Amino acid sequence: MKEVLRAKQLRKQFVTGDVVVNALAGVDFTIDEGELVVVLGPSGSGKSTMLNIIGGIETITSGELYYQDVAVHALNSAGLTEYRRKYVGFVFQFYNLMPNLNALENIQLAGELSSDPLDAKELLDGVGLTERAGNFPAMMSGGQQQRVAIARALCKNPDLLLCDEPTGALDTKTGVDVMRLLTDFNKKYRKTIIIVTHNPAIAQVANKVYYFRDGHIERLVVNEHPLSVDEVAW
Amino acid sequence: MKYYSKNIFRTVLQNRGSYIGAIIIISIGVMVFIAMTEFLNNLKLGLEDYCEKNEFADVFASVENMPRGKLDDLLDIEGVDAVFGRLEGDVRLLRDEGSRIITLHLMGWRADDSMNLLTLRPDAEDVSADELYVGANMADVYGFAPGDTLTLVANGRTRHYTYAGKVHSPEGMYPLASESGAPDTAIYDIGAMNAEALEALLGKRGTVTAVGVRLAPGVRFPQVKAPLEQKLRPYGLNDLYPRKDQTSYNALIDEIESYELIIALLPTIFMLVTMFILYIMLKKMVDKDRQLIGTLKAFGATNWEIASRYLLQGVVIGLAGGLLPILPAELAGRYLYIDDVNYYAMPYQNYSVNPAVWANGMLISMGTALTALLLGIRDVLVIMPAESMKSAAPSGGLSFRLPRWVDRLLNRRQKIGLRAIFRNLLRSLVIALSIAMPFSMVSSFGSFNDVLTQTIYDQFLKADTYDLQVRLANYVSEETAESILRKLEGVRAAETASSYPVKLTARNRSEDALLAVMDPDSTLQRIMDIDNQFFLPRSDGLILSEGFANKLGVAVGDVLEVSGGKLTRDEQTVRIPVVQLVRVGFGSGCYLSREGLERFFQTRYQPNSLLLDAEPGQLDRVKEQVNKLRGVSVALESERMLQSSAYEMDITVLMLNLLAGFSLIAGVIMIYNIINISMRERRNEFGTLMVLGMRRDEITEIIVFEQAINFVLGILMGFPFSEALCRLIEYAVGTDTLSVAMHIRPTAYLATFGICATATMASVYFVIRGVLDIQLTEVLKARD
Repeated sequence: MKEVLRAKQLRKQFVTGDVVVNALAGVDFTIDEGELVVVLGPSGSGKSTMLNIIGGIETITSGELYYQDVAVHALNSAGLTEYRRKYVGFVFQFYNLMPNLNALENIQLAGELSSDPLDAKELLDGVGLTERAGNFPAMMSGGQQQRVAIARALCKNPDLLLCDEPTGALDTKTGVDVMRLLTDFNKKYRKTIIIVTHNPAIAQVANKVYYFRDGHIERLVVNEHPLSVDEVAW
Repeated sequence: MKYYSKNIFRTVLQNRGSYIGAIIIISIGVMVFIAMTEFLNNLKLGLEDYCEKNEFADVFASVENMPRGKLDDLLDIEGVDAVFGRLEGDVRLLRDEGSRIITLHLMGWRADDSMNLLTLRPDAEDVSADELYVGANMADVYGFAPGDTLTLVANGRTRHYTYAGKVHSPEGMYPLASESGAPDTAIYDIGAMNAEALEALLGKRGTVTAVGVRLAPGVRFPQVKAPLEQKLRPYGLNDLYPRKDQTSYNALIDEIESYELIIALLPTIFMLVTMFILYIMLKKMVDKDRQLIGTLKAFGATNWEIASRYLLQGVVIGLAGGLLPILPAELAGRYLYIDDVNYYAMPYQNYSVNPAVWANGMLISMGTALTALLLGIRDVLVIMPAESMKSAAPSGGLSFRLPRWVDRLLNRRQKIGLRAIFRNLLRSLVIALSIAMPFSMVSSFGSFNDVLTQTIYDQFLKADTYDLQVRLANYVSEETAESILRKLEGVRAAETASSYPVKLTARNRSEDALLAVMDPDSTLQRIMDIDNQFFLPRSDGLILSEGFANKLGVAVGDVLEVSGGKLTRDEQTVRIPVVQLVRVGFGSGCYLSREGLERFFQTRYQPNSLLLDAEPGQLDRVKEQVNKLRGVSVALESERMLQSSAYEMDITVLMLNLLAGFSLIAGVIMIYNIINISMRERRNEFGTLMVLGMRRDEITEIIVFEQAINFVLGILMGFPFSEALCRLIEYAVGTDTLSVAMHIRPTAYLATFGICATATMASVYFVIRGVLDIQLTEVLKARD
């Protein structure tokens, strides 16, 4: 499979006064096209920092990160915006939907940022919310909002979908529904998905699982035969 | 709760711009309050002190000729404690340069004067027969120096005197050359000389023309009015009035009363603006801290423990808002006081500082801050501990849908902006209000000077079109007046006119007025309202200004009882109906035609002034001739009357201009703060869009589009507010003889629009900068 992401000795330091925190202390990894990658680790292990760097919303202190031929580490602010716009989709733990747009418009908004968007209505149908197209975020449950958020992220037709605790704010059943959507998208469109989570059960559906600790990749587990969502004991 | 206080303190530091803004606005309001209160208190105390030191009379009378020896007869009247008489008269002061007609209202000085004392500067034990003291303001205008020779003309004879110094008198604080208009001390002021020398100059030996009466304790003017009239009438009683109606005293009291309204009104506006900002800030802070408050309650914290930490901010803001303005306010108050005391030529300038006023300013400041805070944090009381576990419940469902044509017209970003407005109408309304308030305040306060100037110009260029008004010392026959006019050369048009001091009574209300008797065919003096419409004087009744009508509580058709020393005898009053009400800009406010005078008062028309319109380039020549005329009291140039009328309103104009400036400062602070606060709560929303890949220009478009709509909304709301403020200003500055039709010119609106637009654009610029600097990683963690 084609390699889409390559990191060499990624380092990220946060300096607050005299305190220096090495959030990432020299991380190397590669991620192939179409892979579903799960990043696990305790709080403060550096997993979210890595996701943010991959997503182009955090700069690195040193090291290199390439997305295909794009040297992400060398991009300036405008370049990072273009990178996010072109290649990256985000799913947030707390949905972050636009309160002033209804469900369909939230999805269409993301579509407008892409040169090759997917059909917003189809996506809304795909997440089972056709009936809720005209509803605003305040009128929907958390699970419904997260499904709209996923549809929004997918509408951009991103090559890289980054999810930060996508099920963290949901009950188990809704969380399973959300994971089913993500894996289906991964299979249907062959898009690369990286999920940061505390939930080890999610690791069973991944192609690769990176375990983070103290800013390092503690170990990498490659699942030759990942389970389907329905096969996992949630 | 020490650490919760620390948390709030840090939040305050993060929002320091808003707090500093609130403190500045509250300070402006308190400054206006302290400055105006100190100014007025000092003015009132100064007036009382002046009147007491100079033994200002309780009752005043002017008579034609009263033998000094007859004054004691007045002591027979029950309630009269002391009587005083003085010879007074108008004489011409000749100056070498120019043809200006200068008149001194001379007052006789005696070492044993017991009432209405004259203050001479430098102090003098005695005044010799050749010494002349001149009113302080006129002396300053011409730069008289002791030893200068001054030439007076009286009864056609010229005499020379030595200028000895300045004279001040409570009676001469507001030296009016005629009963209407404003003082112009370059042409009319008081003067003083030895009483015997004045008697010789005026040819009135042993007589007095001005009478002062001291009443016994507890006795009031109405109780002695009738007997005084009876005793004084044989000596040609012209006027009899209590202290409150004495021209100078009355002018100062009127001014104090009109400023008292400003003291009540303007700080209130600034305090409301401050309350508005603080309320919004605190409400947003509590909303933001909702979960934290819930958590603390879950830990067992009481409402008071939590709320008191927020209230501490109110105390700090209140203290700062009450303390910071004290020094600038005292400086401003002193400036206003000195300016006014000089205008009124008061000799004592003892500005005293009153800490009680500071305390009141502090109370206002604290009250404002704490009220705003209590309103803002009242939600603390209803937050439940369970709310620490979840975000605030979203507002109710939104049924709003954009109309299809709007939907098609706008792109997605503009829709986000537009929807944001309708999603939170209160937020948009608050922003719009923050724009509407300075727009209306700056446009209305800033327009007053223009409107006033226009009103005065209109009066002197359209209604009173003469160049020179010559007031005669006495009422004369029409034939005599016309014979004088015939002798004057260089006059294009000339008319006679007359006016009488009268008392208007309707039921239990009375007002002193100057009845202008006018010729319906006059081209030099006409009745004009503030809309520049002309009215002919009526013979079937009085035309009254709306100001008088309101004070008397009368309408068209009501009948007034009119009395006046020259027009009615004894207790006689004449009943005259009110036939028309006119909103006059400037003028006597009480009009009757010549025919009406004869009809109601059974008396022939007798002019007491001449109105002259000079041939082009001949005004100086006409003035020179008038200077030589006998029997002339004063001559008023139309152009100078215009200037002095405008100057009289100088402090009011200055104050309203200052307020326009303060409103502007407050407005800019308010616009920035409110927009900033409102946008800050949406940082997460904008951050999400940026994470999704939205460019800076697209984010900018959303914010600019939304704020542009809020701005338009604010401007639209500003128009009715401006109109309301205009009516308020009209009410505050209007008097019996002055009305302004406040309106705001399109250019003023345009200028204010530009100012508000600039402030809004600058605010939006800084807000956008703040939004674009959002740490995107925070968005991932944020919980709306």
